[in-house]
Amino acid sequence: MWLPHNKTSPKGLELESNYELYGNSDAVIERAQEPICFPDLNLDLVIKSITASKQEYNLQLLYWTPLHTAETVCYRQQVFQDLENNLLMAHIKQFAQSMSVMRRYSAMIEKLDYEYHKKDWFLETAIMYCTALSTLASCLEGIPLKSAALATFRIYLADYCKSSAFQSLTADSQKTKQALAEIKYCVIIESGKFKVKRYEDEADYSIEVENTFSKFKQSDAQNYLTHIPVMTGTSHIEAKILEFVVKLFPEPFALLDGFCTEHNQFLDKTICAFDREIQFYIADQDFIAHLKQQGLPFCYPNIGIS
Amino acid sequence: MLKQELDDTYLALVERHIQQLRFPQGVLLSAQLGKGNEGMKYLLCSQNSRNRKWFHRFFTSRSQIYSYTLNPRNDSGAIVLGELRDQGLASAANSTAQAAEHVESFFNVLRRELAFYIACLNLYDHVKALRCPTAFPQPAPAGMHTFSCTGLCDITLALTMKTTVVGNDILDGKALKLPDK
Repeated sequence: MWLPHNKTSPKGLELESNYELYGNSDAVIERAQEPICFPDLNLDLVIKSITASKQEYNLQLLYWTPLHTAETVCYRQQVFQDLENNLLMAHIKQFAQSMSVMRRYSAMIEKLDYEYHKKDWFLETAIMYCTALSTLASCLEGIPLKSAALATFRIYLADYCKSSAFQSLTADSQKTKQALAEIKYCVIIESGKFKVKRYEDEADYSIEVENTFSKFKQSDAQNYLTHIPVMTGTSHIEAKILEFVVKLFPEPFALLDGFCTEHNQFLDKTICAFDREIQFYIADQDFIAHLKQQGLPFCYPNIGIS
Repeated sequence: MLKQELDDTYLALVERHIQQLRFPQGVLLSAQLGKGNEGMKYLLCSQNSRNRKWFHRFFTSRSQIYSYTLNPRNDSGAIVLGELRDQGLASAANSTAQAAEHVESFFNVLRRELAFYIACLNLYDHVKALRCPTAFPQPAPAGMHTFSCTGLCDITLALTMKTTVVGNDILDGKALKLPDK
């Protein structure tokens, strides 16, 4: 229920998604099967090598889908040429990395058992999404773009980031996170039981100890701090503690409930499509860069129309 | 200095810390919520004193306390609880261990410095037994090149011979010049 779902356009946002990263309407229908000639030409190995590090995007389908017009080829070549700008490439890779982390959070939510753990990870997903998009939009602003695909996407992204839906998503997620971050509580652990209460300005005991014995201090002492590995995941004990914390601080959790209801589907279909499709170009560029490093020459072919 | 710094009040405070570190009222940890609403920043705190000012107690409503008792067979729960406690104790344990190191180092320095004075007293006893005269020298202000003494004897000679040696008198106003190395 708390997984972000794709939708065409967010509430209150009437954006026309004119951008096509592939520039070919008939290429949008991706071929589901590898062409028979690929193994004969060893192209299957090439595609495998290009897409090896990008399994999550299922990019091989894009490589299997043929293009039919020279115009489309040129349209894609322009994107490749834009991506030769290292700065642009770095920004897009950073965006892709954030989106990948966001998807990992989403996948994790399905495996969690407790409601408010799921809801907060959902909130984290939204925060990651907002940050990734805002960062990319501001980074793209000053970068010269020649390709129609990326230039159109930049306009779309800028409009999307200014939309009331995205602004509301950003503001609500930050407000909710802030409210939750301000919660401070106490756990009193006794033998075989524990209690949970609000934090009431109890003093940090280690500082009291330091102050009491500071008169003996003549030089810096050895660091005795033991690194205790923090467990990942949530146990039933932590879930119980959280249940008590929810009772002690109902307002921030009401905000979280409201956020999850209001923004339960926040992913934009066009942004998600861009996130995947740009990987086609990134994978290819990385592959070519590797070949260039080996001293092999590379150029973009000129496609004639016959 | 020792009497002043380590008076009864201070020793009572240390005693109270030792009692508190046995956690008779349980381990009190403060915490905050991190990603996924998981507890983080567990920190050992001291219980608020019952002697807090009356107006503070009067105007501050006490928090509700929720309690949970583990089933005696809930071993995994006990392990998790123990791990939470360890996380909270880490910082205080570090401070306590460092405090112990400071105390130990302080007494080591104290022992070394006292050893110097005890050695002086032992030497005094020896010299006294050999009937050599002793005195505390009176230092002259810096820049005044003056020196005088009566019956000044070579202490190493007395200790080696194990007998009284004849001393020397130096008259008032003699300029003292220490030889260079």
